[in-house]
Amino acid sequence: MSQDVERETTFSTAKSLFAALLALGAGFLFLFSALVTTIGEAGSVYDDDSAVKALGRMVRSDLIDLVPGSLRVSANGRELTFSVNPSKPQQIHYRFDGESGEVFREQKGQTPNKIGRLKRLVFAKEASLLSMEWNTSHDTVRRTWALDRWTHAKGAK
Amino acid sequence: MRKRVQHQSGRLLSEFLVSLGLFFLILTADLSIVDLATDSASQARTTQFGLGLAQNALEDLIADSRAGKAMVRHSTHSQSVSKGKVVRFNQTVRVAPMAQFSSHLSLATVVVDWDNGRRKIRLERYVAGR
Repeated sequence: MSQDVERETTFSTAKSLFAALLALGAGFLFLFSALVTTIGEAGSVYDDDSAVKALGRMVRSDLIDLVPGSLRVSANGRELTFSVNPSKPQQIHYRFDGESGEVFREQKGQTPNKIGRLKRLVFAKEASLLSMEWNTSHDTVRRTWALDRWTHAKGAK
Repeated sequence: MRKRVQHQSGRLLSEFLVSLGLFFLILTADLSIVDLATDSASQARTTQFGLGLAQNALEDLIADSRAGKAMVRHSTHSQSVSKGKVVRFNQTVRVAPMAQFSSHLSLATVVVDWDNGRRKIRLERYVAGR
């Protein structure tokens, strides 16, 4: 009789332990999935932002020294070329690789600078505006820069 | 014998209920963490879009040869910022000539608001008419 009780108690404890471990496993699984979701969401914001911010900063600082009339955009909008430093012109080339999604800044005599990775990037020149359009994980975003301001500022000197 | 079985069943039931309570306690905390994190990411993205809209509007004004003239322009722009969430941005562009200082100088103000006006970005800049 006492052996039966002992066996039953052991069995009951084993069942409780198994259930507790199962619940713990499910809890960890849920925690892990929540962590993956959160990191994924934060990561998508960071990825889009870091590449676009770096690219925007570079283009803007290059445009300050733009040689008037030198800006060209390729027919497919993936390449942007212009010259800087009017006294000793140097050509700057921005290139978006459609296959790898990588964006490069190239300057003669320097190794190409890999800026980041984007899903899509299109440059366009409309009158005196340069625009850059890219895709985030949710939508299409556009950024513009007025080109004339730099030439006006230089003219005012 | 029956008493012992009843006792065991009662113990199992109470263990089950305690586990269930603990599970929901952890679930609530987890869900609130995930909700806060996704909400913060979504807000950061929305603010970035709003700022981009305001900056683009100012750049358009700088490039516009008639920028020196007085005007007020309202527009709306809808943007998808996260899965299934579309935010409506209201944009107001105002140009006020500063005749007392210069006949060519104007003050351009761009205000972008969203979330029923609870969130707002305001950019100001002097623009020159040509």
